Amino acid sequence: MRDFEYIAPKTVKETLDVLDEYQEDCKIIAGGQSLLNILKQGLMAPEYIIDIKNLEELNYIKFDEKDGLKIGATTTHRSVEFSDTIKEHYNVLSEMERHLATVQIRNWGTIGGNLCIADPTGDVAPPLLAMDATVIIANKDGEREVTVLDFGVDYYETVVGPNELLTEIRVPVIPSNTGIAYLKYRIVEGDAPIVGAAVAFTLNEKGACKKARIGMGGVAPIPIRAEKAEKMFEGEKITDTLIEEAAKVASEETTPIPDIVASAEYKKRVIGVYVKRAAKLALTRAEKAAN
Amino acid sequence: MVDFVGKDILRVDAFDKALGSILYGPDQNIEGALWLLAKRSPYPHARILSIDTSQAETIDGVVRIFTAADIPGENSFGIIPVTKDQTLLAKDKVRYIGDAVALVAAYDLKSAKEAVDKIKVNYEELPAIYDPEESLKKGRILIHEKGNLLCSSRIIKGDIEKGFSNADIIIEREYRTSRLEHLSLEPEGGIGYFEDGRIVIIASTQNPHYDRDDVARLLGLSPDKVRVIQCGTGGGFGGKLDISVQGFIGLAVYHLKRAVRMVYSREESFLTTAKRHPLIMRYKTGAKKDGKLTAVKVDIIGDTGAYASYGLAVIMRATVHATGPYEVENVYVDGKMAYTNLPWCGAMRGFGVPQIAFAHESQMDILAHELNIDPIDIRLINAFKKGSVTATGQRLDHSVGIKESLYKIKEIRDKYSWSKKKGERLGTYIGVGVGSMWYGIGNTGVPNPSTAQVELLPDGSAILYTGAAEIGQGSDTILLQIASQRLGIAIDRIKLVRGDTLYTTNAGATSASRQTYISGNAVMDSIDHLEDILKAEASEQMDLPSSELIVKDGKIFSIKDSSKSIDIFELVKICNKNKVRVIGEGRFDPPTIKLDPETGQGVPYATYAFASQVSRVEVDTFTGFIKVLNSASAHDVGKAINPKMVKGQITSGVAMGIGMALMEEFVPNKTKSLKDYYIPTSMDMPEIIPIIVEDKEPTGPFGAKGVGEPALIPTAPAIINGIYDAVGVRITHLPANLERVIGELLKKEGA
Amino acid sequence: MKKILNVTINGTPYEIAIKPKTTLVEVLRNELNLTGTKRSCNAGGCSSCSVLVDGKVVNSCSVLALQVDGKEVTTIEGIADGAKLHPLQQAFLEHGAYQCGYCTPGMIIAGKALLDENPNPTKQEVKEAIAGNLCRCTGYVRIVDAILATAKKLQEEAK
Repeated sequence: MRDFEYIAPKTVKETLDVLDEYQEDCKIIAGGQSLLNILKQGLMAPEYIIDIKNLEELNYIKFDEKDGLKIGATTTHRSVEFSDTIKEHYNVLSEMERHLATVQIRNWGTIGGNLCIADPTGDVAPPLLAMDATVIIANKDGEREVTVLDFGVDYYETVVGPNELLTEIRVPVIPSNTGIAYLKYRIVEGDAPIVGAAVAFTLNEKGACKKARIGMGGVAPIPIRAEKAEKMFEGEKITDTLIEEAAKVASEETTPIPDIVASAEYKKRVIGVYVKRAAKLALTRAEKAAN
Repeated sequence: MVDFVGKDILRVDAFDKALGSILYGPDQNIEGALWLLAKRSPYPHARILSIDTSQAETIDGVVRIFTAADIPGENSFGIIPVTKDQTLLAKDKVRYIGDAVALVAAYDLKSAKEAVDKIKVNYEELPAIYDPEESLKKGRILIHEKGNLLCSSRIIKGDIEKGFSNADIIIEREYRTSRLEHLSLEPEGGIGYFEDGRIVIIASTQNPHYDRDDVARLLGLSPDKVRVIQCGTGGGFGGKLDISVQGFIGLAVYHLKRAVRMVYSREESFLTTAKRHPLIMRYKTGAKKDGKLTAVKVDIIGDTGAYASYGLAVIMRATVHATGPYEVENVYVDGKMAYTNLPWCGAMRGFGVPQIAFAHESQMDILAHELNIDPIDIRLINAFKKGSVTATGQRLDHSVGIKESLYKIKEIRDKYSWSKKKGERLGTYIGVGVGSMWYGIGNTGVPNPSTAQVELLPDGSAILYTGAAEIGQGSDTILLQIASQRLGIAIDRIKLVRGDTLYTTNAGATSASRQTYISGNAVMDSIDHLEDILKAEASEQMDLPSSELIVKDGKIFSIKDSSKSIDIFELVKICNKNKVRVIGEGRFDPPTIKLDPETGQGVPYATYAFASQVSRVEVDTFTGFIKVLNSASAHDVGKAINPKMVKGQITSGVAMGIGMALMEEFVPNKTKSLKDYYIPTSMDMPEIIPIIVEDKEPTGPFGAKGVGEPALIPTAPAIINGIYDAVGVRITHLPANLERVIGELLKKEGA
Repeated sequence: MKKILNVTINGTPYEIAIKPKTTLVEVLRNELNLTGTKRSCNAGGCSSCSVLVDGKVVNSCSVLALQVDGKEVTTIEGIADGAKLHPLQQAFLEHGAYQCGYCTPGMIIAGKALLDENPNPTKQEVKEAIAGNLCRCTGYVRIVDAILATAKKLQEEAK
C-alpha cells in the first residue's frame, strides 16, 4: 500500500470542504472493507484518505410513515441487520444483511460504502432497486437525490463526483399488500454472491399485480432492474407459469461478466432460477400481507 | 497402572494454542532482523539473458541482493534424492510463473519491495507447455534437459487380456482431477541467524531434517553446520514438505552472518508453493455378472508442473493403489508423470491416492449400477481379506479392516434409511454414495526409517527426543502417549524435545500418515534399548545376569525371585553419578521390498489403513449446487492411540474432501489469492458420524497404523457417487463444480 | 507524516505513532508484539485476524488502525483472566476444537463475540457466526460443539 495523508473530518460540512479542496487527489474511506484491499493491491493510490468511518452525524436509521426510511451512509451492516425499525418495516433489508459477507465485515463495513464501491455483485443494491430507493449525494454547495437505478455508471463506478459524498439512503414507504424477497446464489457462505435477485410485488384489491420490481446483482457491470420482466406482471394475476416466463425474460435482460467461478451463460441461467425463486417467495409474502 | 493409550488424553499443545501463545513461522522475530523478499519470474518459460541489480542496490535500506551466482553449493533441491531439479534462484532458465530469480535482503519490507521492482531481468521467452500429454509428444521443447518425462511406474499382475475375456461386463471411463492448493492457514515463514559457527533456521515445516540437509547442500556445507528448528506449524497437508523460505534464509545468513526473516504473503504462497498433482486416469475394468472383478487396466498421466518435488512418489502411489482395496487377479497399470510450465506439484494429503480413489470408486459404482448390486455389497464381494494378494503381489496377512469398515457404514446407512431419499422436492434430489479406500503407511518400497531417543532422569521424569514434526495432526501427543504407556510414567512427567536438528535425530517427514506407525515404533524401540541399559546396570548392582531380569512397574525384578528388585530411578541416579546418561536410542524402518521396475512386484508398504464412507447429498438441478447432508466414515486405524484425535482427523478429512469434490480448483494464472479459491466453511459441513475400526496391526505400536491422509480419501468418491444416485449424472472431472454439474445435467436432459 | 493513535488494548491504554496506512493487525503484531492475532490472507477473507473493537468482532487486517482511535480492542491475549482460561478457551481444549491452532485465536474471538451478543445461540447461529473464520484442519464440527457447550455452561452458571 502506498503512503497517504490521513484526514478525519469531524462533521459532514468539514468533509465536504475537504473533498472540495482535494477532489481527485483524495478518496473517501468508510469501513474500508473493500477499499483497503484495492489499496493493498495498488489498484488505487490516492494522496489523501478522507476517513468518515467515525462520522456519527451519518450513523442513523430513521423512519416515518410519510417519507419512509432514511439510513445514514456510515451506518454499519450490523446496525441495519439488527434495527427493529428495519425489521418491522423493511425486513428484507435485515434478511439481506444477515447473509452479507461475514460477521466481521458487517461489523465494520457500512451500507454507504457498499453502494459506493459499486461491486456489481454487492448485496445491498438489488433489494434497494426492488423498493425504488434513492440516495442523497452532497457537495459543498448542496445536495441531490439520485435513484439507486441511476447510481451505478459502470463496473466499480458511480455518479458520485470527486467533490461529493453519499450521505443517505432513502427507501419510500412500502405500499400495503406488498411482498419483497431477496435471494442470492453463492458457493460458500461469506463470499460475494455469483448472482442475487430481489423481487417486490404489490397486489391490488383483486389480488392481481399492481406493481412489480426486480433488482438483480452480478449479471451486468452494475446492479440492474429487469424492466421487461416487471412489465409482464403488471395488471396480471401472478401464476407459476407467469413467473417462469418472466424469469426467462429477466435472464435475457442481463449481460453478465464471466469470471473464475462462472461463465456468462451459467450466470444467465442461474439468475433466471433466482428471479423465479425470489418471485415465488415475494408472492407468498404479498399474499400474506394482503390477507 | 493408568492407561495412556486408547485414551482421549488432552493434547500437549492445548494451552498454548488456546491462549494464542504458540509462535508460528510468521510470528518469529529477532530485533533488527533483515527482511527477505524474492524477485520472481513473470514468464512460464524463458531463458535468463541477464540480471541487473545495480539500480536496486542503490535503494536506501537494501543490504544485499543475491542471485544464482551467490549460491555456494549445488543450486538444486528436491525432496526425493534422485530428482533434485529445482533451483533456489534460477540460473539459466525459469520454468513457471513464480520461479525465483533473485533475493533481496533489506532493513524493511518496503525497501525490499522497491528493490524487487527495480531488479532488471532480461528474458528470452520460450514456448511454454501447459498440458502433460502434449509435453510427452516427440519434438516438444524440453522443460528440463533430461526430457519432459519425470518418471513412470508400472504394475503388472496376471494376464490382463485373459482377465477381460473372462469378464461379463467391461467399463471404460476417463477421469480427471484438478490442481489443488493446500491452503494451510499459516503462510510459510521463519527466521535465521548465525550462532556457534552454524546457520540456525527456525521455520514452519513438516520435515526439519530434510530441510537441514538440502539447505546444507545448497550452501556447500556439511549438514552439522546448519541447524533447523521447527517452530509452531499452522497446518501442512504436504505443502510444507518442500523447502520454501528455508533455502532463502540459509543463503542470506550464509553471506550476511546476521538475523533475517522471511514470510510469504498469501499470494506468494499461492503462486510458489506445491500443489496437488492433477491426474488423467483412463480405466478399463472387467467383472463377472456376480460383481467379481476380473481385470483392471489403468493408464495414468500426471502433471507435475515445472519441478519434480514428490512427483515420483505420487505416480508410484497412484499406480500401486489403482485397483482400490479389492482382489483383482489381472492388473495392468501404467503411470507417467510429465513436466509442464505450470505451478509445480508436490505432496498433498494422500499423494495421488485421493485422485486414484475417485477413479476406482467411480468404476465400482458404475459396475454396481450396471449389475444391479448394492454399492456396498459389490465392494464386500471384492474387498481384501486376510490372505488376499495385492496387485504388487503382496500377501496381506493381518490388519485388513476394509470389510469391517463396509459393514459399519452399511449399518448406518440402513439404520437411518438414507437410501429412501427423504426430503426430496421438485428440482432438488437426494442421493447416497459410497467410497472406499486403502492407503499404504509410509513411503513406497524405499527405506524410510524414523529414529528417537528416550532418556530417564533421576527425578523420576523422562525426556522424549523426536525429530517428528507436529503440524497440527497431533504427533507430539501421540508419541508421548506411546512413550508414557510403554514406560509406565505419567504423560506430564515426560518432557518432549522435538524437531530441532541439533538435539533430535531424523524421524523422517511428517507425511504418508507415517508418524504414529513409524516414529511410534522408533519410540517403542528406544525404550527397549533403554531397558537393556537399565538391565545391564541392574545386573551389576544386583549381581544377577541380565537375562534373569525383567522391567515392571518402575522396577527391575529378578524373574526367579520377585523379592529382589531395584527401582529404575535408583539405577538412573547411580548411572548419572558415574556420568552415564540413561538414554535409549531407537529406530524403526518398515519392512518393505523395492518394487520391480518392470512389473511393480514387491512389498511397497508394511501395512495399510482401510476405510469406507457413505455420504448423503442433495443436488439442486436448477443451479448444480450440491449440499452434503450426512456422512459416516469408518476407518481401520489398527488401534486408536487417542480416539478423540482420530475422530477429529476423520471430520477434518471430510471437510477437505468436500472441497476436493465440489469446489477446489487452482487455475494457473487465474487463482491468485483466497478470493479465487474456495474451501468449505462451517456452513458446508454435513452431520458426520466418525467410526473407528480397530483391526490391530501386529507390527504397529500397540497395534496402531495411521489416519491423517486416509481421513480425506473416501470423501470425494462418496459424494460423486451420491450425485449419480441423486440425479443420474456422472461427474468424471473434479471438482464437481456448478458448471460441470449443470453441464452434465443439461446433457442428460438433451439426451 | 506519522499520526498518533490512542487506543486501549486488552485494558491497557497505548499511544503509538504510526503511518496512516497501518492496519490494526500490523499495530498489534508489529508494534506491540501481540502475535496471538494471526495474519493469513490479509484481505478479510479468512478472519484469522479477528479481534474485538468495542466488543464487536472485526478483521484486524481490514481496519485502518487510526479508525480505532479512542476505542477498546480485545485480542486473544486479553481473553483469559490471568492464568485462568476463558470458558471458551477451556471448551476448545476439552472438545479438541483445534488441530494446528492457527485459526484458533480468531475462532475464540468470534465465538466470544457471538456469546456476548447472543448467550443462547442455536447450532445454526453458531455456524453462521464463524462462517467467515476459515479452518483447514478440523472440519469445524468440534468448534461448533465447543461454542455451544460454552453457551450452555455460561447459562447454567448464570442461573
